[in-house]
Amino acid sequence: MAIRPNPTPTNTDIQLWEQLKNGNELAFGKLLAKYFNPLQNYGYKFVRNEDFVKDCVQEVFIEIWNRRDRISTPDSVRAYLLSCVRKRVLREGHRQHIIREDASIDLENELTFVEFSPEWLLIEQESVAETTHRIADALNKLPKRQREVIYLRYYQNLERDEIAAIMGVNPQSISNLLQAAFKNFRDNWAGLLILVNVLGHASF
Amino acid sequence: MNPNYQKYSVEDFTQDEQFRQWVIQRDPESEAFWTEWLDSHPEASGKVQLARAFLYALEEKNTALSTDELTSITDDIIRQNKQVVRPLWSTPMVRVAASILVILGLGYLFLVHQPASSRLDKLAEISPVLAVNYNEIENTKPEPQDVTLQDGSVVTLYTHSKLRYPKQFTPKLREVYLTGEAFFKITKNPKKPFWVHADQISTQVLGTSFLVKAEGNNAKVEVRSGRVSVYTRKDIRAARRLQQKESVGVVLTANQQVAFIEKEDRLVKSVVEQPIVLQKIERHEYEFEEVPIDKVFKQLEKTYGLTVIYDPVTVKNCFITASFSDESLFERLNLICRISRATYEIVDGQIIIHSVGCDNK
Repeated sequence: MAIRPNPTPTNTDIQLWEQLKNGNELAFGKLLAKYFNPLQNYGYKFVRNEDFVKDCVQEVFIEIWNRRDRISTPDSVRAYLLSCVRKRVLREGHRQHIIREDASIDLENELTFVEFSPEWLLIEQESVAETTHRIADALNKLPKRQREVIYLRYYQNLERDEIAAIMGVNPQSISNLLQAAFKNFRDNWAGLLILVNVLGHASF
Repeated sequence: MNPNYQKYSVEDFTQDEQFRQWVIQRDPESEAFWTEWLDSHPEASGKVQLARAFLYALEEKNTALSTDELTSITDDIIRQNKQVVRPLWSTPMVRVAASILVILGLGYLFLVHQPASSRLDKLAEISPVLAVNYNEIENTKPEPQDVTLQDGSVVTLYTHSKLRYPKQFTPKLREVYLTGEAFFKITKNPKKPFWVHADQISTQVLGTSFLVKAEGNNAKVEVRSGRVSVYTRKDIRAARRLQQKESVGVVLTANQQVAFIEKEDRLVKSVVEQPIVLQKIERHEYEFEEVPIDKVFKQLEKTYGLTVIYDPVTVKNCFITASFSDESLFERLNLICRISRATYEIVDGQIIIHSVGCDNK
């Protein structure tokens, strides 16, 4: 599977970041507006508590704003923010015993990347809803770390190197994880495509 | 201009910005684009729906905040600046982000004469939560009475009116049931739409502020600003049965109204009797001297938020010299039409200008 360049131009992010470092409130607002929701979405994968995750994301932005004259410019703003949120959610969640009671457990290895559960979705087409659930089921059979890689790769649309930086492993491991995930998952694709074609006639 | 989507694989779709705009951002424009594209490329439907389902499967419970909420978070952070970071989860999150004005009076006399049981059956069908686990408040005092709901929304109940609301809103919806008249100030929450049900119609809050009222047996909804959609009982029933997200409601924007015609069981959309000025216009902008008529129409559209439909070719030689002060919309329309030998009518909440042109110079 080829990893292609991220289609979103990242240099505008870098420009906004530079302006933010100079105290530009507008640039700060733009970055917050762009990333707040995706970051919440990611945080929610670890701790299913809306207010808690919202506050974690908010604090990441508060810290950035308060330390704006001292922070450096990351290679990828998106990856940097995701990694800040990941760390904070795990640390704070741990401290508040939201994730688990036993504080002695090594976070990195015991992190909770929850199962995909698209039940909340109100999908108007039954065929799409059905497929969504089947895919979620297939994905939930993958090990946690493969699940997280798939999520970051596709939902957050990140490149391999960015994912590696967030998860704190080398890029080659990310390729391996993705490959493993797809090896487990690929067989289902063909079956699903047929399913969608059959069910899809009713709706489109 | 668009990439060659026909050649796209499922994976390509999941990474396409336009596609993500539709699936992840729920952007209506992108949705329109893809619906149309799928209509003309039915053979790609399988791949597209699979890519869509794949992204949905990765999605989390929708925790997205609205643009307004994000702006206020930004402001808070910038204002608190160097202060000590406070534990944010202790701050009250309830904030009235939008105030909505609703007055509903729904064929009140008619309703009380209906047997109570049949009304409750109907209600249970629309909103089970309102039929079993609810609080009900009736205002028997002569003056209006305020009721605060658990989401922070405030309902001002007028005399002899009754409001029923669930003890706990469901995770996806905020629904209340009203007989009589009320004024609503709704806490904005795009994740949980707010519905005001009444016996004949249901009103969904889509935007900011609106006013609903009714006379006799015919319910009527008037919008002051913002957007609402109104559904008849039949519409709602059909929509729920077909599990459709979109149904056949009537969307109303500022200065529009809809009346429920009971005999025909349908909603008729028009313009309110006294349209209000939505956007204050500088006085000098109302001084027209030999101004092309379309400029005047544009000014009216801007002022009242209503669409003016006319044939630009026919009116291209019409010029207006006039100055407006505090006339109503209809007085202004009469004046413009007299000058330009045109007539107007209101169709479907829009102003239609019938002109024969002004070419006699």
